[in-house]
Amino acid sequence: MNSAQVDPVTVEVVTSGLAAGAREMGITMRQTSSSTIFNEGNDYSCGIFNARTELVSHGEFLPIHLGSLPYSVRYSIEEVGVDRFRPGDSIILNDPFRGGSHLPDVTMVTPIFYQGQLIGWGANRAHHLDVGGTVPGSFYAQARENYQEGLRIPPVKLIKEGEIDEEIMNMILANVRLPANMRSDLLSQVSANLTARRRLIELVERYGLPTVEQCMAIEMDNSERRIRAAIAGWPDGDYHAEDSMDNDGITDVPRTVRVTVKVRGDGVVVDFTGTDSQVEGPLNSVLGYTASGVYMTIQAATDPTIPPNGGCYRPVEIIAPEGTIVNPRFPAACTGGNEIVSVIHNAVYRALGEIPRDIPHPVRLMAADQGSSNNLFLSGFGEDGERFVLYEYPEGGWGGAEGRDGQSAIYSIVGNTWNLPVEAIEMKYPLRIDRYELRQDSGGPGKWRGGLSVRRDYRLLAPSGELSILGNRVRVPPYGLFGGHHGAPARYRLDPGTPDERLAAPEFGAKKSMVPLKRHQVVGQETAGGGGYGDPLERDPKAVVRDVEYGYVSRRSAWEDYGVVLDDQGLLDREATTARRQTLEAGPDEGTPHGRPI
Amino acid sequence: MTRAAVDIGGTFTDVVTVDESTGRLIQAKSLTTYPDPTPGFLAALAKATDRTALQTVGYGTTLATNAVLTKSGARTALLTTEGFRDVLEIRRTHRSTLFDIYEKIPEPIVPRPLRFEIPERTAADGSQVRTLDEQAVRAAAAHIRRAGVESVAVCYLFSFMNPDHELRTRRILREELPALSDDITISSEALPLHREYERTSTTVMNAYLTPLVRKYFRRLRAELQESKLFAWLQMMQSNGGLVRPERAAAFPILTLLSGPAGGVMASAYLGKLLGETRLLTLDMGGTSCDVAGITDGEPDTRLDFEIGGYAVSYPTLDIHTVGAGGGSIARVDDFGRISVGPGSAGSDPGPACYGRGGELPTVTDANLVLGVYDPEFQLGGEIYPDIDLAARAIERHVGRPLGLSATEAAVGIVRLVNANMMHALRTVSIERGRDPRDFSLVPFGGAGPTHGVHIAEELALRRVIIPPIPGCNSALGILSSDVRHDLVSTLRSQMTRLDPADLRESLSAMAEEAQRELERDGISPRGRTLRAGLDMRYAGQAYEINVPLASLRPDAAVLSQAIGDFHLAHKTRYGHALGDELVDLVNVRLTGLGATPKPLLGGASLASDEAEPRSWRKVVSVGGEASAAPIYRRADLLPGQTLATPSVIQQLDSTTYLPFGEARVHATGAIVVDLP
Repeated sequence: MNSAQVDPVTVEVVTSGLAAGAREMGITMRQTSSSTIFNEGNDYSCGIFNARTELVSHGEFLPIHLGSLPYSVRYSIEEVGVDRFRPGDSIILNDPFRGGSHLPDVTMVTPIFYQGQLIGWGANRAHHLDVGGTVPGSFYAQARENYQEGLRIPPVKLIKEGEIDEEIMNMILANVRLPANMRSDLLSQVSANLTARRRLIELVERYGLPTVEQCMAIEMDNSERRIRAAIAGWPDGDYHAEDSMDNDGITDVPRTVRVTVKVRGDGVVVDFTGTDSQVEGPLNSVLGYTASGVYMTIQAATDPTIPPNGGCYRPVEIIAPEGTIVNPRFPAACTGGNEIVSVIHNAVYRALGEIPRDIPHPVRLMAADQGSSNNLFLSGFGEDGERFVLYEYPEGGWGGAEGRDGQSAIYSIVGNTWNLPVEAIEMKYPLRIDRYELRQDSGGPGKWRGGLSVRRDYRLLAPSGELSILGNRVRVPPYGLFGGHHGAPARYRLDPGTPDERLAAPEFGAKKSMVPLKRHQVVGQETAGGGGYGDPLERDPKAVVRDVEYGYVSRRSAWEDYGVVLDDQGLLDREATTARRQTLEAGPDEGTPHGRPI
Repeated sequence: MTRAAVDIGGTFTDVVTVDESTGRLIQAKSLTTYPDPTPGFLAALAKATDRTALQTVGYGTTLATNAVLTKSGARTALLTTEGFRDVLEIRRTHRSTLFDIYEKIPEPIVPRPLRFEIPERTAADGSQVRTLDEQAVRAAAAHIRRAGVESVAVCYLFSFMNPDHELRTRRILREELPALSDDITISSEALPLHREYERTSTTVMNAYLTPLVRKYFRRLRAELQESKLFAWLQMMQSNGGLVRPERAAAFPILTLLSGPAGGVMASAYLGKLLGETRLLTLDMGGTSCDVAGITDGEPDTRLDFEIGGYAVSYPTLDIHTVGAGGGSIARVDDFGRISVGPGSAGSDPGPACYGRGGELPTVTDANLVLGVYDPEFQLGGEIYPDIDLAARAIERHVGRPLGLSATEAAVGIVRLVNANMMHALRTVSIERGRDPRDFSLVPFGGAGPTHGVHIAEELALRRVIIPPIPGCNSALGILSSDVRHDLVSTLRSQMTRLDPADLRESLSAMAEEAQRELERDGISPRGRTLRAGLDMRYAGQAYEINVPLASLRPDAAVLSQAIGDFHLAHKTRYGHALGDELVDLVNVRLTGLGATPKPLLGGASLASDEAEPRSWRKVVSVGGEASAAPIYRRADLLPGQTLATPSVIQQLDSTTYLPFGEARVHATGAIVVDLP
């Protein structure tokens, strides 16, 4: 590649222009869409691609979308035919086996032409509230094949030379539960791509196509070089780890992602050989999704200042055997694929944690995050007879890391969405939120404590409704590292704290569809906390005292997990603490192996 | 009679005065004094005017801003609905960087032990579904008394629909905590809008700043009286209007962007005198650059912003800040990637050319090496720059790693910082649905006029307007701003079903309040103007567009016009519009303006010749070509004169670089540059 001709300043000017364009796509989407999940939750991602379908630039969107977007562009070309694109076309798709991820994620791909020549692509992926199928919200926890999960859209032109194909649009809207929202949201996805088109063409008009293409190539080469330089600092070797999901919603057995990260010089092979076979339930991750989980982990583990683009992916080879939960065969059900991506992320991170840390730039590591998107749906009909579907995917805690506690109340690393304001929910849905708070003792004990997760209680005000859940981390909590304990598992209850309290999904922990709800019934959702890092007995007792004062940690956990004793005023009892820690160091306490009863 | 404006910056205190009878402007500068800025302010004022003649003093300060950034506000407690004390800490759960797992998120302003949950609940329709537990409020007050708390915020769910519980809570707190009576902020007054995190954060921020700002104003007033200065004080607010100090003391969040707002208002005023209504402003100082848009003569506003990582939802001028200033540092990383900013050398050690120990090359160093800055001319009136130090720093840190000469590297640094500012300008134009080519650029601040013409050319603008005193534009803006109050109330309805009588009722209550406020500001009834607007959106959307309302007593025709205007505004911004029945009203806004006399700019004499340069110097353009350019002194220039290009214009507070274009001096004293 001849990249010597463009000066570094022009490269920077052009690539920062592309980055601004990708961010601007997101702004267009947020401000013009009409679903809460778009405009409050920001559950979408946008990117600009070069003509060779490499991701050139994206904004601060969802990592889980970004690594798989290139697959959408490539499948669009494959399905539609490279010579059949015209200026003004936009392609829609959601088929997980043809460039999509899970059905609710609908992708819009727009070829960008300049003077008749295809010069690049704008693409974005956004989560729609409902794409039909068995249950409102289209997260059917007991689905056994993709057909049950909603409308499947292969790559087809929704917009033809600037005109909406109303026949395809009608076909789509006839199959979803909230057609009015969806039409408007699809058009806002098209608008976002037109923003990409405008920005790319402006740059080409100003600097000329060859220069812009060279800038893109140089920027990707730079990112590739920097990732390689970081990997080259890791000792060669095979690093193995695994992580599991609770079950597949059909059989209550944990399913495991096994990964070997093979560091070879300045590249890595991420090999999933040995991972469990694809499952009957909807917990399968298509290859694009799996790739997202791998790429995001490598980027987080190396250097977060590296400009994210397709160049970052080049040093990474992925081996994902077909027929496993990380690369299922059609027509596997796969709505819960996003759950597997969390497991993949945490498995790969754990493997990277095996790399020796006495090197100049050790892996930027943390213990497991909440490890689930905690998908929860409340649906029904309001007093006015109108259908409602509320989709919640609340935050949890991140793992502790060397020198710092895990971040509390933050979206899982695979995503980066916003929570829905309580007041926005109550103004729109027949629901009342009774509480929204941090969960005491949810952060895994450690020298560096895991981040706290949250609890949200929903009270149904409509005459009747339903609850659907598709989550994890009730059976398999987020792991701790280097002696740190695991984070508190997730929990889903009905009528918590009342005599009628019971588990909402006793059979599978966090997977159940259409649990009937009565008026004033309360659903309590508690997400999982982050894992701890390092031995909790080494935690600075003053930090534990502060955690108790703040209510992050109970006195009981201070005693059991941290060996810290507080006096009646809540101040540190140094002598008792020293004695308590000696006792705990001498042998396991009467508690569970993890230190704290679940 | 004389009016004065003072802008207290980090390094300098600027004063501009205007003599009402002649319109003559006088500018003076003095070093900002610490910790009490008043001596510096009085010193600068003394240079400019005889204080006994002073009628009003407009005041811009970064006091509140600095308190947030240095975390030096009050020890604050929060009372909130039971079950929701963590709203402040949970925030909105997203992160600004994708892959930085060690990103530092600021600690909540109120630590958890000082957040008290009160049993009470108001529903989405304003009905009270759980009565206020007054005993719990008293118990919280007892804790607060013991904990050494200095201010209190109260934020209950849906208080914007029904403030009763918050009002009662404040009454009880004042009984229980008389010492804190002036330092209680309730959310239904601070920000009566939905979204509990943003409202809580805004309310807490206000409480956090109240004691500090209130005490500061009290002391200021006493000091001014002691020095026999009895002028009427007016504070600059983030919305570009003035307000009496008592109100700013109760709502210090009103002043968080007080500094940059002045410069935007000055640009709008200058535009008015030049007949220019579409402007982009570029205020480039030592560490950062503030940009804003002005459409139809009015600065664009926004409804929320972030400071120090904390959300503040309050109407402010739509000012966008990027880390691009004269002190921005240029670097090349190990992989040959060059960047400029956001890191800055600040004023200490400052750019390499200051010779104060700064080793790293900055934008100022690049301008010096290119000949745009004069090595014989004091920067900021106090330092003679050293061109050799500048060249060496650029050579070592940028030139050598990239295989470029110092001059070539300097060109690169200027191009990059220009690109950063260009992206910022695009944010406030293109991202708001506006074509920047319809706008003229007003660059100011110490470094804005150095870079403005190039940036304008990159954005394909046609005209650049350089204000008469670019380095004191903020003070000038304070002098040309009106008194202003922005009021908001929630009124939710589908627009086509809205009863005009309900809207009239809401507006008349707000109008009364605005009249009361303006009365207290000393504005005579003749000088008052009220105007109203509606925040509307399409059903389901989460972001509103504010559309002006043609009348304060709207009838059905006025409402239907507002719907039409909303469609148009949406189409302009996003390219499409939807049906009438989909338009929802969310909030009603009313602005009360109190007119102040405006400064006259420029003199009467008009010349028609070409200006005389003082000297000539070799200047290198961003294209890399060197040529001899005339060097003007700003004080020599007369209205009506034309200027050669390329050329440089020097003045104490700023250096203007005109690489090309047709330049002339306008009657106001502004330099107008028309680009090809």
